[in-house]
Amino acid sequence: MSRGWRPRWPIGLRRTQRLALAVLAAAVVVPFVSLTRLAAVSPAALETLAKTTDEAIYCWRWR
Amino acid sequence: MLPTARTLPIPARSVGFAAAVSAAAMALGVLVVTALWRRRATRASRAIWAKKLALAGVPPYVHALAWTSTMTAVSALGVTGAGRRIPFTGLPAAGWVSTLALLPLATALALVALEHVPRTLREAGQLERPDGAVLRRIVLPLAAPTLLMGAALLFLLTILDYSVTSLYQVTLYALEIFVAFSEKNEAAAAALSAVPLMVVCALVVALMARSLPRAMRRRLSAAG
Repeated sequence: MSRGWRPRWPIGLRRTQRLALAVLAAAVVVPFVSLTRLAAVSPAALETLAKTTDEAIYCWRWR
Repeated sequence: MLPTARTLPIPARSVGFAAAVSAAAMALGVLVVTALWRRRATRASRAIWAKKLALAGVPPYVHALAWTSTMTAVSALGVTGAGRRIPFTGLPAAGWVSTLALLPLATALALVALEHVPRTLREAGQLERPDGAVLRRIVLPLAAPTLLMGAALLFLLTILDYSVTSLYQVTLYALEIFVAFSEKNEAAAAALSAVPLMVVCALVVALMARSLPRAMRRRLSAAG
């Protein structure tokens, strides 16, 4: 549908889109950086996170 | 198994929370996809997008861990004043983390919905109206059933997840099932307490099942 279409959006919509892109960037960067740091500090901690939800939450809360 | 004064508002709160999170994630997904139409796709940008969408597979509690660590680090910088922590807990924190955890998936679902609108209809609209009106009057109404299905899927994922809300001390219905099991250590009690949640989920699945043929019909009639 979008092939070859470079729409000119109203300025209000463009600002909201920029905000949405910033939120998406945060949604990607924050977990990525956090997991990378965790892997650098303690690879065993990543193993904990890969466990079932219950175990991971328990380990995280009481670590 | 009868609801008490404590448990009575929990189902409504759970439905409200899941509806708000799925609507916010889908709205952000639509905004992101429409923003991307303005940019030319290159091989590098496709690789970045593939990585972003791959994050849809990361469990929500990992997002919660990451955001809590980040907020703790930001508090340690003294942004909010010496010794003061950013109050990152409760319903706002749970809503923020749940929405952002679903955002890569919501973007993918919005992409599928919006890309399936026939190009000919959009081009016909462009002859008479500006792009903003074409989006509002042609693209979004035609994509609406598919977007609704995507939002219903996000709703199901949110209402069934107890990890994020329990980490931020928000009591929602999914956690109540664990409470029911912990009280008496009886699987039957947990299964009984899950019935209202199963009814809500069945209603949402029925809505999705109704929405699918409508989406197909709109697509076929628009293409024909």
